[in-house]
Amino acid sequence: MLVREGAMQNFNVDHGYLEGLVRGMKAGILTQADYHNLAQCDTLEDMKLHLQSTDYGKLLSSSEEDLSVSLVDSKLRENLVTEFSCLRSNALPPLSTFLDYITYGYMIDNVVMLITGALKQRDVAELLPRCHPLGGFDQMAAVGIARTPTELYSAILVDTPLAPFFQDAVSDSNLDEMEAEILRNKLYKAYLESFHSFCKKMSGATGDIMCPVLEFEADRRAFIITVNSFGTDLSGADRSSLYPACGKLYPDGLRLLALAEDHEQVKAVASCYTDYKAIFEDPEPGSEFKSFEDRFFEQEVKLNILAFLQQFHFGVFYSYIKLKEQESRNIVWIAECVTQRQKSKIHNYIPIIQ
Amino acid sequence: MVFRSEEMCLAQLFLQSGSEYDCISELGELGLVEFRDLNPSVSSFQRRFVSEIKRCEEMERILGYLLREIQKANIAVPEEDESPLAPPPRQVLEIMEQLQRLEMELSEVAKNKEKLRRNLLELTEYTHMLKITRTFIHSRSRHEALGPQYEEFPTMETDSVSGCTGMQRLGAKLGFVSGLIQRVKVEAFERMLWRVCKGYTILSYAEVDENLADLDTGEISKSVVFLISFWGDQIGQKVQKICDCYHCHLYPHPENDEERADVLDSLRTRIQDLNNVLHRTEEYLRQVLQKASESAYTWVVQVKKMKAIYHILNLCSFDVTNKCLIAEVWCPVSDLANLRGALEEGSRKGDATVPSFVNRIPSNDTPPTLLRTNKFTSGFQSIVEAYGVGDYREVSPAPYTIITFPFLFAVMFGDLGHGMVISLFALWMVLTEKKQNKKRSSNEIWTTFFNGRYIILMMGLFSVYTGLVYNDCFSKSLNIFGSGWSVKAMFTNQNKTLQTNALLTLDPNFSGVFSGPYPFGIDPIWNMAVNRLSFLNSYKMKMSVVIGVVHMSFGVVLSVFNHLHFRQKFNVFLLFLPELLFLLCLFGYLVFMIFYKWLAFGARDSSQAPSILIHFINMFVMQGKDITPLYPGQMGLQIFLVIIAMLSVPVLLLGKPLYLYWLYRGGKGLRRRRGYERVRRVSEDDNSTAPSYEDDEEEGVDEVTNREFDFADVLLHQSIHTIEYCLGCISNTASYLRLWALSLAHARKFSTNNQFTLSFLCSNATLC
Repeated sequence: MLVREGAMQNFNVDHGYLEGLVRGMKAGILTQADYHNLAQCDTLEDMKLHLQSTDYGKLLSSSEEDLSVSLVDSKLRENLVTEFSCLRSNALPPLSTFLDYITYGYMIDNVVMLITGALKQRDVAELLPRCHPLGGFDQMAAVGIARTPTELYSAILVDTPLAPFFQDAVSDSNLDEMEAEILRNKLYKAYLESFHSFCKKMSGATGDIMCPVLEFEADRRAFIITVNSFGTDLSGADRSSLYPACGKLYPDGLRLLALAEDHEQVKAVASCYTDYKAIFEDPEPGSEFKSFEDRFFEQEVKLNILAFLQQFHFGVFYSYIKLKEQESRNIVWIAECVTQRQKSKIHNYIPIIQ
Repeated sequence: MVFRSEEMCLAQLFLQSGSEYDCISELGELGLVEFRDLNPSVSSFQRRFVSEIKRCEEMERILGYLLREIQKANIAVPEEDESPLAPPPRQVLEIMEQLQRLEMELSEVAKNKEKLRRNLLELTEYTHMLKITRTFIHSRSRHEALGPQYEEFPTMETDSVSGCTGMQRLGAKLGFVSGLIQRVKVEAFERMLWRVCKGYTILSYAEVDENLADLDTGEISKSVVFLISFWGDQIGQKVQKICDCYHCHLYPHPENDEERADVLDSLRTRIQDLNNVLHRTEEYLRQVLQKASESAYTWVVQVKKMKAIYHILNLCSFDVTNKCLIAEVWCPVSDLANLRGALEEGSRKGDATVPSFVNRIPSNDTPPTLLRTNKFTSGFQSIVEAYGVGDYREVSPAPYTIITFPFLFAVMFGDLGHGMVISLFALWMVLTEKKQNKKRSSNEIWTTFFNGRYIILMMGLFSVYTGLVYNDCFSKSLNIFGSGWSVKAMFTNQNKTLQTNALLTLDPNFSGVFSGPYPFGIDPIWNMAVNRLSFLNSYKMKMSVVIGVVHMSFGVVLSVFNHLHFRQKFNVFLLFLPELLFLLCLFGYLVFMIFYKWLAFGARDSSQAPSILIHFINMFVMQGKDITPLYPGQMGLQIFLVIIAMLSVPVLLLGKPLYLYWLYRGGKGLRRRRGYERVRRVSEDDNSTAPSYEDDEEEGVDEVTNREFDFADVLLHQSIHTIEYCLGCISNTASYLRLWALSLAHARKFSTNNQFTLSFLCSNATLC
């Protein structure tokens, strides 16, 4: 307990500025009223006009090209990356390590995307712009050289921070699309477990805040892996090696999930846990249909909002990035609906701040 | 400066379509009116003139780009004294076209220039690479030349004689990849190369002496030239990929020395050509920018004005026939004629067949407060506005602030010398204000000073005055008129006392010692006195309280004008009187005691002079039989005053709410009667257009009672006001003592400063 209090006392010396910064940026997250206004727009130009009155300001109006959804998406992403790199470059350890951990997830996605791209004989130059800039690293372009996970590890990724996550993923089987997907999940499992134990070791409220968020993330992955594996030749045992072992489902829930063979059985597993019961429940008649992915997103937003209720911890940084990502998804969704004139679906975004 | 805020009226403007733009432009130049939003429910992008605003934004974007380029080229944008008028709508397209053409041209030239620059950089890199790789090859060939001398390597010779190595016999041939890489990436590059190619490559590298700019980012950094030799196509592909991934710039490696020399030669000429072309392009770009910079300022202002006009037009509503726009504005009554003139001018400019016109409409809304200022009063007005903007037609405190603010400052700052310095500085700012205004400095601290230049000037002048009163000039006294004190009279023939004592007491009771007061301010002899501080403290403390009470009473008296103007006579009796009584009975009496003590006790009986503080405290606790009264009947008067002050508090607290409540409940019968009277009166003077306001007092009361009456609400407001006022009186009186405290602090600080500097100079002098 002494250690924890000490962490609180000295928190502001090193990280107070950045926490203040991130809380200020959080105040700029779009509210329900903003979404309401955005949803009324008829063209992207209107959306641009509306976003001008928010914290995004001149973000969209400074471009010379014509507005398109992909331009909006890339601008939003650019904005997020600018904010993140501002935080990262001012961070001191251990916050800098924490922020690096956030980027590893994006790195894994980038690696897997490059591998699948290389399998499809795509040009690296064409793939690189599609990588998430938060997960960028020097060796990225060379990923396509590797033929097997072992080669990938020993030749290319050994210098990157992803190397420790490869311990379980090393195998000599040829990389194909299925294998790449499995690699992604294995890396993610190792990453989440490592991040989880890192947060747990952190003093103060960081662990208290971050652990539930990461546990939720782990469980979500487990559910999604299970649901997606139906109809493929992935066996239950294979599956269980992909489940991150740091969530609330561990260990009993994961064992049951490994045995599940259809959607109903997954639902039965979820019903044992109060947090996930609602997600897999059938929608009430009359209410609009939401996929369980959307419900997971909703739940994630709720968890991330909670992080802002406490002070002196790193959770706010993670939560801010995740909330901002969700916001970008929302804006892009609305922009999609606006351009494709799908007004009826426009309200399927996930509100962040009521 | 005006006593009250300007009288306003609500007016409807009927702007004929076609000339509405010119009308608004004309109004904007004059700054006469405040527009009301007539379509608050319409969201900003559904309004009528959105497309025009978008066009303005597009122009702003281009202008921003243009200005950035101009700044990059280090060309100054000349600013004009007069801001240009908003362009007429038909000229807008012209400007737009001009801007777009400029943008196209600029981006074209910039793109070309960028391409050329990139080309040039590439060629420079190539030359560097060629020069450096030659040293690699040569050092290696020197090795080979030395080779035969070693007994260990005879096979080499034989291999080359037989024409090919083992690898070459297998069909794999020796390949070279050469290029440049950033210095920081070399280590990682080498490691990756080793790991991927398992050592089947030879990498040699050397740093480039010069700092080269990066091709993509233009950042200047150290680069390294490398040469990789490898066998086989498979590895070659891998090497290629790794080079791509580390963003190396690869250049073809020449086969032999002659080719190298040829390439170097051709590179040299090409670089020269490129430099020429680049130079010319830059020249041209500069010309274009120079021309653009001449009108850039005008464009920026014009586009800004245009955008503002369309924003205003968005606030207007259309009438049913769509023939004209209707705007609602608040306008000062005295400016209605100007408003009409501006509209006529606008219609004339817009070539409208039907002129636009103004229609005054009655309104129950509270109009906005307008206080006209000039460059002198605007500073003081902004000080007042920092506390809050008065209601419509309320008495404006700003005119009095012009005197009180600098004066209270000077009371604290009182020093002739320092005051002079400040006023000279302010005077300089005032005299050069035209020049400074033009400069438009962006330094925040400087603009604060500059905007307050008249305040500072007044503060300086008042400080000179109070400095004279305090007889302080750089913390020293001036002896202008000759001191009224003289020690001579006391010691006519006792020279011994004079010589042996460092300190002498001047007794004013001695005839001849005190010949009369100093004509102005404080006698300079006090500067030498040991008890100077206690004398000045007592004087300044009392003076602060006197000034404070006078200042506060003045503020309370000003409120009467508001009560009378808003026809709320009951407020005079229920608010103003108890407030004034409370203040004067307690603190007014304190002031009276101060003056009484000054007048009643002279030099002779000064030892019996009482402490006012004790008397004042005793007044509250209603004791003090044991000390001698200042004057006969003091006890009785004091008790009377305290009781009056205490009684005025409940009157202040309950008077207004109860009166209003009574009006609301019991006044109904009364009002019916008056209503009847009014009906009669209206029918009598039917031909008078507007209902006249001569109906005194009850009119205002009617207004008050007509609204929903919430007793608890009024009571709460009144109790907050009461508490604030009573506590405020006490704490403000105490706060005015700060005048003394800061004055003391200022004087002490500078006198010690003086001492230190003087003693420092003296010690230096002795050392020398």
